Amino acid sequence: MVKKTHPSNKEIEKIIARADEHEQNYKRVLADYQNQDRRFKETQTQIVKFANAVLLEKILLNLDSLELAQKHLKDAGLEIVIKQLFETLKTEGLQLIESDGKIFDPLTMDCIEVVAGKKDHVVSTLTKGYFLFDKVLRPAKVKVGSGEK
Amino acid sequence: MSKIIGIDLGTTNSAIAVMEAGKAKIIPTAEGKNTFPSIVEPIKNLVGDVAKRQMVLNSENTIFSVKRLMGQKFSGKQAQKTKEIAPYDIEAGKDGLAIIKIGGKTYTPQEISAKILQKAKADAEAYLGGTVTDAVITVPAYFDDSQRQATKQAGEIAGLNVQRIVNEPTAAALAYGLDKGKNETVVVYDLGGGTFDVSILELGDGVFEVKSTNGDTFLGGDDFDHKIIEYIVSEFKKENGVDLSLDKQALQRIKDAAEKAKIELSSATETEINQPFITQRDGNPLHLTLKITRAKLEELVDDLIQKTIEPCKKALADAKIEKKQIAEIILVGGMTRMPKVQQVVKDFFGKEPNKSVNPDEAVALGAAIQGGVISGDVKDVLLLDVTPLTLGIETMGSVMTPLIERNTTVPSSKSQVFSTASDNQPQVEIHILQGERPMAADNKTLGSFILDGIPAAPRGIPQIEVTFDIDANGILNVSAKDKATGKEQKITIKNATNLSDEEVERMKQEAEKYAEDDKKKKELVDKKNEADTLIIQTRKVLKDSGDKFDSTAKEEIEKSLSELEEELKKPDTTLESVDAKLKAATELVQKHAEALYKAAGEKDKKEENKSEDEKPEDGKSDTKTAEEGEVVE
Repeated sequence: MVKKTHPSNKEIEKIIARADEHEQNYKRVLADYQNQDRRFKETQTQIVKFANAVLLEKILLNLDSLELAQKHLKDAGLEIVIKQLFETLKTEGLQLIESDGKIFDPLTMDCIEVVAGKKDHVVSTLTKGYFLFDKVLRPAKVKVGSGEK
Repeated sequence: MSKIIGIDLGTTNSAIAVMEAGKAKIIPTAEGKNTFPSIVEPIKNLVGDVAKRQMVLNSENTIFSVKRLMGQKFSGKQAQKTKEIAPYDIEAGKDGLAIIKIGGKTYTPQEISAKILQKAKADAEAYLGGTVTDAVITVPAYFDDSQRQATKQAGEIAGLNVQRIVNEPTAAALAYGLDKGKNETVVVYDLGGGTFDVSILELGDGVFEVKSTNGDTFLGGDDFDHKIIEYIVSEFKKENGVDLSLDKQALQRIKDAAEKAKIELSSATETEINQPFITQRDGNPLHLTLKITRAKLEELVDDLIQKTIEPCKKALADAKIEKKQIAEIILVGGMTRMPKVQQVVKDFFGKEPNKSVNPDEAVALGAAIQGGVISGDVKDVLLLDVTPLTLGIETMGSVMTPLIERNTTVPSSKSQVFSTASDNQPQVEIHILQGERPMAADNKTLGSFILDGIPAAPRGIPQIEVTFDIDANGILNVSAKDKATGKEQKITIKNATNLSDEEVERMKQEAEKYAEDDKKKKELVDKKNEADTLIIQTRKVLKDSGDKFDSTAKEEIEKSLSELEEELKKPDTTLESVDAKLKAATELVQKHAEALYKAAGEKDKKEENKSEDEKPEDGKSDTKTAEEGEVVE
């Protein structure tokens, strides 16, 4: 016959403490997982929506160059090409940030230089800014008036 | 207890991180970036990128580099030097401490830093979806008590419970996972946006001791950018006689291009700067096109990089440590991505620096780990192992079929249904393999067993479910069960994950080295299996419904099958030769099968257009069915 040994109270307490600890850990990991899962779903929609952002940013540099060229060439055909390209990008969610003559807004604009002109108003836009859906893809680079005539 | 976030409160840029599922993770800012500029406009309460964008317009009200003023006396060298470069007003305040005066209002550096921390808090809350109250904030190792105190106050003003102020190099070492185990001496080389710091740490029993620190508080990535800009401007002037530095618009474009070029030259050896219509001369447009090689860039910034060596020497001397005693050199700060910087560090210390952690994020990640240790996250969460190599079984044609892929976090389990390779096969051998090579023989055998007593059935019909179950201790249980009879066999393999690092590395390298050969071998086997299936299937059809074919067709098919079979038996057979024969045979079979269908179809039509989808399928050479090793479920 083997004599049954009962665990001491101390041992039971220890075991309970361990069990509690494990439960806490389990809950924590589960919570992390659920949060991760929620965020994963969010980012998934974001990724689909903004998948083009990197490419669009690169194409915008080319659009800038075309617009600079047009400034000098003033060619009717090129004008159409630029318009066409912009219309295409528009269908992908791109939108122009209106900046000329507006009050300077650091959320959508980046002030490069302060020049004579109406105070805190955009005097001219150096490179156009764009929204991609509701997000600023690229702020407009602008010159802002100092208030001096 | 809510999560404790880690904040790298930097001179030029700041970053936020948090522990999730036992790992430190960077929290993206509201703008979707991993770091944000430490720039504040206190009147309109603008922080980060937004503050930076209005800096030119509002320079006297926009504060950058506030960290340089934290806990500093106005009369001190640091405050005076900052005053020289800062467009905002710096004055002496209470106890002679430096304060900032903007629009008639004064701000302590703590209040300004608090705005940066507030943004960090808000972005973390948006990310975590809950309130954040606790934080670990990092400071340079050389920060004295009053500077640390000021940083802590900044946290409190921002509504954060500062659980701990941690040294930046210590945080970086934590991010690099250097807290585990042995006692060693580590160098942290931190070249950021605006400052350079080198620290020598001694690790022992999870405790970090900063032995010495040195650096240059006015040396960083911005200086590198300036060098490139100067070069571009001077080259353009040489060629076109126009000074672009006078044209702010052109200068802005060059600035952007210079930064882009600097980043590109960390991975490429040459880059081209293209800025069409950069300016005009006599009404004609001028374009900037300039090739910069990595060598040229390195030449331009060489003196800047060399400037980091002197502080390294001093730090070593102060710590009274020889170069050879250093176990590890870790790199922090975006500028350490530059290959030349890494080279100079390597040449000086005579050791390859460790660059396994993103240098922009290391400090914030380390702060988050420290936060995790405090909240108990790190200690308690099991560090789960991953399987270092793929686990699988051998299937038809000596192919390794993976069940549990490499780098799967364990515990994990996976089942797949397999079948037999030949008719009336009474048993299957389950040969368990480990490795990355496609052919079974090239991988390591962990064990094997036989499941017998499979009832007689055509090949592909029996369903053998193979289950791999690997527990957290790396013990692998493999079982095979015949679904028809319920008969089961199993084996337990201990230490399936327990390979030495060298062994894992060797196996990975071999897989890479032989990737091309292996691919060819595997393709040949696949093709042979395909041919084999065609032969068996077609013969079966001929046997079962041979009367539906005329004798010439039968002969033709049998001949091409024999030829294919011969080809398979040749020891020097190639993918191309098997493929050619297989194609010929397949076409032939299809041709005759079509005729057969047509005949059958006409017959069907006569029989009152019976249900369309009940056409006989077995005449088709469906090469996809029932290959051992394929899921037949």
